[in-house]
Amino acid sequence: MISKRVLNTLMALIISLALATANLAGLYYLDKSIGQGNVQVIQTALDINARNFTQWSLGVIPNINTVPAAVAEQENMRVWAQPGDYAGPAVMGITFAMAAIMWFIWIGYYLGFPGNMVFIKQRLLGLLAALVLTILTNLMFARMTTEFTSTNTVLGAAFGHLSLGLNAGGIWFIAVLSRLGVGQHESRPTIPVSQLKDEKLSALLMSLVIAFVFEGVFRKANLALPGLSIDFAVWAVTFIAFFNYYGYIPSKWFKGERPFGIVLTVCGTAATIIIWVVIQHLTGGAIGTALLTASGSPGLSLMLSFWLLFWLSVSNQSGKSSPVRITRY
Amino acid sequence: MDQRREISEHSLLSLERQTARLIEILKVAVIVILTVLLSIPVIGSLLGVGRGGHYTGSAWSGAWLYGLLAVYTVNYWWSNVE
Repeated sequence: MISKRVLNTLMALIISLALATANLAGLYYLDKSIGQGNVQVIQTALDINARNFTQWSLGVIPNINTVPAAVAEQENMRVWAQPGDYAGPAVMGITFAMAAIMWFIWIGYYLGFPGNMVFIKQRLLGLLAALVLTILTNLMFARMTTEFTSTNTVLGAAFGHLSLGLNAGGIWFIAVLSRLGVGQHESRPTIPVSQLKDEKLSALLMSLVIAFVFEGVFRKANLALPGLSIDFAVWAVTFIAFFNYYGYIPSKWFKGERPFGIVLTVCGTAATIIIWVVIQHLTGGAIGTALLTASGSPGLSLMLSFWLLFWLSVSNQSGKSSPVRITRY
Repeated sequence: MDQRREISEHSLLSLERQTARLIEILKVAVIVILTVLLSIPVIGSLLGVGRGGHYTGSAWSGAWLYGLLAVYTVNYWWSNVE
């Protein structure tokens, strides 16, 4: 007999993965709509002094034309996006991980789907606010990149892939909104500084140190993407999440439900990476992970850190990070 | 012979209070130092946007992830889990 908690976690997992797929599919469609050999350029017009100025709707939405890449280079146009700048199909194992984490946090942690969906109206409103805010903020970042830098490829320079900016922003906004009390989320009670456990400071410092070592080792071993230099931050977030859910002292990792949670995290990560390698193999590299390519496996660092963070969130949400045994219900 | 030093109740209490105050100050100092250390790459990434080529150099997605780092850190700091 499968317990209700496991069933709830599975439901949240499946729905969030489906939503992440829809998220990435939309961006992948945008990538495909540009067409091979074309680029999207920001439409400019001449003002009365015969100077080019960029046209924006609402201040953040650019007017975009699709032109052949050769024309854009010849005319020295500002390129908004090249094929691959939205979803990043070549490293979709990584961009998908960010989307999966975001949707799991939105659906499972914030909305409480499917077990604990009280305050549904306020929380849907919170999700809508996070959606609007993250899209507007990221478009604003893109406009700032256009205005204040001399880069010729706006989305590539601003985000690497737009998907990363959108979904990281989504996690950030929902965390902040729920902390601010949107949707009456019963956030953990704040405790006075005098009662803080001293090990937390050590844990935070150590998570930065360990992340630095991991980043260095992966980069030396040519297992980190040279372009997307976000490995350090992701590893640090992953370790802080681990210490938060499972405790800093190793003896705490073996209490209650925790050993199963750690096994779930490790096995889930391994299985996910295997599935992504299979997807990469089946699509001939069109949708890939930057693993086992001709130039080595530079995607391994981000694949591991992102998917470990995802499965850590899942194991925490399913109650497997509890230091006491949970009786079945 | 037993050469035990006698410390008055008052000076012991005073020492305890001074130590506690010092620890509080140290905690705040470490938090400030951490904040400064963490803001170096964030500010650097903000100033450096667009300096690199396509897919190289720092980007806003990096800034988002440092923001996430801050959120997870604060969340851990104020959580009271075992």
